[in-house]
Amino acid sequence: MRLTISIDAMGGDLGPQIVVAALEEPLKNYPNLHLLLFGDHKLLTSLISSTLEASLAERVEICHSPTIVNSADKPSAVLRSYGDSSMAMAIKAVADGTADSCISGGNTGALMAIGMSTLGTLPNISRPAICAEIPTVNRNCLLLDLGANVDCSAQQLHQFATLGAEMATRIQKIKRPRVKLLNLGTESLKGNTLVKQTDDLLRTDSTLNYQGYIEGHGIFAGEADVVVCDGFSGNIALKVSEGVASLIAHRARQQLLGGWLFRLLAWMFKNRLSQFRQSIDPALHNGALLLGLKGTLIKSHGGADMSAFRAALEMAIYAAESMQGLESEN
Amino acid sequence: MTKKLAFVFPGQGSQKVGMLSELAVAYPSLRETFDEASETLGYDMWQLIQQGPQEDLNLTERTQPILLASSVALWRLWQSCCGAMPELMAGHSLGEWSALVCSGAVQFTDALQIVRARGQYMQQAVPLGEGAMAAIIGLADDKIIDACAQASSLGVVDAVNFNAPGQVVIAGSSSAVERAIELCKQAGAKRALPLPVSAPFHTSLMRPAVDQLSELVDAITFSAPSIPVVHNVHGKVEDDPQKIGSLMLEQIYHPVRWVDCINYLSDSGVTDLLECGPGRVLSGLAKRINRELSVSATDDPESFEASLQQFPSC
Repeated sequence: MRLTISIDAMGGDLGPQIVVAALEEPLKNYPNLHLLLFGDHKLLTSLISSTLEASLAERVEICHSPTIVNSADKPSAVLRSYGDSSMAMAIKAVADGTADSCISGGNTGALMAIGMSTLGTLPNISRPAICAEIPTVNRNCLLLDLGANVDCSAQQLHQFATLGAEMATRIQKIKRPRVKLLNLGTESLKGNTLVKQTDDLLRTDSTLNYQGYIEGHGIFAGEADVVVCDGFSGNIALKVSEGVASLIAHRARQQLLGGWLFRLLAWMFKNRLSQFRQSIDPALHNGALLLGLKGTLIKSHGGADMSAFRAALEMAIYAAESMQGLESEN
Repeated sequence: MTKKLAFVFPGQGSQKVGMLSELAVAYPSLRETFDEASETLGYDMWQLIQQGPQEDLNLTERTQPILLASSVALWRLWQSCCGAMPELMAGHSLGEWSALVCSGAVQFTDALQIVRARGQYMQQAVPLGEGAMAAIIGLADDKIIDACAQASSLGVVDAVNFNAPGQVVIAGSSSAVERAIELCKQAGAKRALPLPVSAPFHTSLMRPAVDQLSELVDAITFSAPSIPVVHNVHGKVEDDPQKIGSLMLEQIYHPVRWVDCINYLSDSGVTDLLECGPGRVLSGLAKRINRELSVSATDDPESFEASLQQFPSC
């Protein structure tokens, strides 16, 4: 089945050349993949012709969009003036059914604003949440919200739990995903008012497989399939974990370069080490879903390099495939 | 002091030809909610709002869905622009339906059909000319209630909207309302203004409308509101979705206890109100009820953006 992804080629901090360079491998790996690239037509045409061989380039359609949303633009300003931006036009492609999912490395607030006004939110969802797959000792776990909603009500956290559980069922094919609420302890007395109110609410929802509180380290120990928190805590949790991962990689590199024996060992085990790096490198877990919209929208890190953008694109493909499968089931 | 935000949703009387036009130029996505409403109800709602005529806009069965759609459109725009989530909500009469939609308790398209029928049935409940409403200014609530009790020998008349201290609306059968106006003036009311409304809303004369509407209300699903809504009937919040439908039906023939609703918000620690809909009627009333409350509007680009700046969430 044909799979079409719309890409905001101008959104990332490192420019469209990163985006175009990231297309080659996915186009080779997925023969049914078609891409709609939104941005400056002239620039993108020359980048494509110098980067991709003709047989791959024929599955890439360039769609001209005259403006670009800047990283500092407020959501209200974006809705006022950027209807013809690469971001807005790429999202519109999902709204009108031309694309199965959309990916952008642009400003998160703008992505939320255009996503909400163009695609609309699902019934009973006040506002979307940002959700990412986090590596654990077992399979990946979904963590949400990662910063779209800094202040949340218990009802919103309940909505996020429902969205996360549904995503775990649909994308990760887990029948009864274990949902937990991020807290600073697992005893019932622990936590702030919001967490306690949310816990009460989640306990009354029999449609969820809610299993109570989880602490920060529990996420990586694989104790849950879905971890729910407000955007403030979620963003801090995510960035702390990214920082720790970078530190480990840095220290490992330092150790291995410390003497000839280590260098020799590193050379001998380079495949293993590369696998290890990939498993913890935050860049390779790029691609967060905006959940709660009537359409699939993927946010790539603004500063994503080529391999990180490719990871986000793979996430967009993966999400679109799961949704497509679902539509045909229905 | 920490700020606490609540949204208030206006009722009938806040509609005006050309409303929201500037906002829709600035934010084209605003129109999408009206397109959705037009599709559901089968007429071009945006055209009617922008071109009028005012008489059509004032037809109760048109006014009610139009105000609902306007509030929902503003709410969605506010959400898209990353405005802060309110902690509580309240709507005046019809505006209570807008609050329920925005809090996620009722689906927009369900509510559109209900408020259209609500408008029709409320209009039809009393033959044209037999009902009346009047605003009584500058008289204590209990004296107005007494005056209505005395005048009720001529027919139904009740205090139906406790909008602010010294601002009460009475309604009932025409002759009884006339008599109550005289009595209120004698009791010291500063002014008594007949309102250009053709039916005595929120009186017991509205019961036939309730019987008709209950079928529609029973057929829809209510969810627990994600933001608590303060109800007109008792000035309190109701979390149980099973009970919301009957409160919404009771509201049609019970007084709107708006002063109690606003006081409930203040007592819960609310410091700021945002009027999510056209006009500034509720902002004016809120200031009269509690001068400490700050009020802001959303219905033109300048006010909308000023409010956003005051209450950002991301």
